[in-house]
Amino acid sequence: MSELFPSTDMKWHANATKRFASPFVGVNHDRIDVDPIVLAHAATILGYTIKDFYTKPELAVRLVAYVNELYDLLPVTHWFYSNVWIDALGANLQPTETLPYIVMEPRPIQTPEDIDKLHVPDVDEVSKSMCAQLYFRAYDHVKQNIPHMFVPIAFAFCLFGMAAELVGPEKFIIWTRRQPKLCHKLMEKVTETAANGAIAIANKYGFAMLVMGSVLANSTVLSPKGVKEFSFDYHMNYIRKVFKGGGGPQLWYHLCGDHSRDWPVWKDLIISPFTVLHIGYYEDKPFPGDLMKKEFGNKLTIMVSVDTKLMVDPNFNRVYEQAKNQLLAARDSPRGCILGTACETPVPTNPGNILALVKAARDFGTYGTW
Amino acid sequence: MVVEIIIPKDVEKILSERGISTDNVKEVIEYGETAKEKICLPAENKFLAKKTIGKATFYALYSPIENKFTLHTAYAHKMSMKEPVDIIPAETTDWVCCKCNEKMVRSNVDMEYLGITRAAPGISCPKCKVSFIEEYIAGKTLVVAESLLEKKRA
Repeated sequence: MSELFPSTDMKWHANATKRFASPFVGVNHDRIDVDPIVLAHAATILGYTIKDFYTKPELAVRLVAYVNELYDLLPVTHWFYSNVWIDALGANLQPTETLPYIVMEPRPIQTPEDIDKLHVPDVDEVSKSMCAQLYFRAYDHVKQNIPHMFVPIAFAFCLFGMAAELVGPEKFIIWTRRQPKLCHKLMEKVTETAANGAIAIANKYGFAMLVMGSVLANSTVLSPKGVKEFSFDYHMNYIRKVFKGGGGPQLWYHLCGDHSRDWPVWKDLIISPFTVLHIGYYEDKPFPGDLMKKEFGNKLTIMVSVDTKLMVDPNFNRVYEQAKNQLLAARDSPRGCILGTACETPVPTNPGNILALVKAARDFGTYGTW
Repeated sequence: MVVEIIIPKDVEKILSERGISTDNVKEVIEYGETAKEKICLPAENKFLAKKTIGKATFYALYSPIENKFTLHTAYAHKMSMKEPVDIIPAETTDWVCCKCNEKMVRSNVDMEYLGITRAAPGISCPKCKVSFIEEYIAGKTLVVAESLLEKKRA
């Protein structure tokens, strides 16, 4: 693998590292950081396939690392897919040519009784799961070959969505209204499994940044009360359990989709010294940077968004203008601000749009010049 | 106030691993008993007191038994505690504030280290706002956070 990639430019890396750390250490560096949540886009833009990205984690982390240097983004690399840990609960996951791992039929939970029978794997058992093994491959490779870009991350994207995948999303959403106790029983098991997965990563690498998402649990699918009951509360339990098991201390909350009605629920989230909150949309618009700054800026680092859909179009000024407006609204947030896209930058993202994000950060995200 | 402490062997080991002296523990318990800045688990007759000594905040979990104090555990963090940034009244804990007799609730508390202020999970009294850090947060989350802040600052 290493023969494919020239060494990282360590001068670039040193600067990107200072930039990356700046929101958390209160020392302003050159500009606000840009994180367009690059995944399989890194593969396709560099001549590989989506399937390569999801089935070859060693290659994938190198591609993301290389793209980060190419676009002047983050000094760390990552690799992930959304249906994490559920193979340890009996889901049969398969990669496709165009998508990350999807759950094959039949789903493991067909009847309410199947939930009772579901065994929650302990830390040792979950360490042997397909999910853990893929992550270990990615992290071991980074640690060995590009240790300067290493951060062990445990993903839970989202606990509600993971439970829904075990049942079938439509059926599970109906259960939240008709059989909520069943949903809770399954959510508890999914949460414990994901927490054991995070602890397995922390045990192996010394710590584990927790990246969590409330993705399917959003204002389009659930009421704010439903988001609290089926997503927020479980994520908080997940964090407590993982912290007790030695995971953390970094927390990255990724609220993807429309959170126009449920965002106040997240005001009560658990905060660690390294916490970032990212909210994608307010209805069908990017979540307003000024609202994020006002409601969350005094206690954690905020990540403001540009509409992910714009990243595909060859209209670079539209991305630049939206990024500029979000930065003007949130760049002086007291505990730091990051510029991103509302969700994973799409596979066919136009590189000109990533440049537009970076240009906006260079033009309007330089500290102390406003 | 002269405090006589009983330290079981397993707790002695914890103190030694964490570099906490018996004098530190005595000072914390004395402070908790005199200033009443302590919280308790009434059903278990356990008290948690804290005191900042030098550059660290020390905690002692103990039970008073016939004018003596049996120590259950002790821990410390280097980050200096400031004000709570969130107090979440709906999330009560089993801990009770000994000054206000109010149930402690989940909170996020500002902590300062190396001139950097960031929040961490704590428990706070909704009335007097006194805040404590639980053992698992101090011993794991904050230890790693302190070391990352030292590296990032460097």
